[in-house]
Amino acid sequence: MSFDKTILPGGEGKIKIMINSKGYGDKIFKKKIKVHTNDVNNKVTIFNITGNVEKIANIKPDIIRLSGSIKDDINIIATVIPVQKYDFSVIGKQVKKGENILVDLKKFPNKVKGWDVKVTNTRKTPGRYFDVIILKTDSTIQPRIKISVFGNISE
Amino acid sequence: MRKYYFAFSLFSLFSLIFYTFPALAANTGPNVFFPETEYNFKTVPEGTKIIHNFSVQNKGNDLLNIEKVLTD
Repeated sequence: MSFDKTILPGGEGKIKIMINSKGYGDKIFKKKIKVHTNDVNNKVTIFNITGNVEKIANIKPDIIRLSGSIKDDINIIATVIPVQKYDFSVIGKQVKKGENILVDLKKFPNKVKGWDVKVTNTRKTPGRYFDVIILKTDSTIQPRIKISVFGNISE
Repeated sequence: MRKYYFAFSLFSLFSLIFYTFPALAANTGPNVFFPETEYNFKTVPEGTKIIHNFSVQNKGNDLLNIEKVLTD
């Protein structure tokens, strides 16, 4: 955000607002901006910014929670299906820490365009952890899709 | 002290003028005007960055200062 600090009598200036729609997928964006001036009759003016933000992919589940015993084989498969309007392909994967999980990426075998992301727990001791899976895409809008992973491993 | 009296009498004079001629007072100072206070960016995919400029006009006869701009 930036703005002209002083405006001459009869003059015009601008207030530049930058909006980041990240994190607003499938939600209505609403924000209020308060502008304070030295005009005694109009000390504060409120700008309302609204808009619709659409997801470019349907990810289910969108947060991966791996919980269970160290004796169990703990894994979850998340599916990533691009929204037709914003068609893209997943071209790679990366795990932020990678100490406690293994990630396997597979394209759907059928005609539907989508990917299975299989997340397997590799931790052999009780405890909690957090990691992030980064899916690389060929989408210019979202070149990286992040999926959070929470682990809760018991005896 | 003399300076103080001078300032005070000047202030009183102005107050008297503004009180007697409200129209004159109304035309003094900056006067902010926003042609637009609502902005709807319609529909965008998540991850899009939007830049929007709001225009600010000064229809008064004194310098207009934008003191701060805050977001919620």
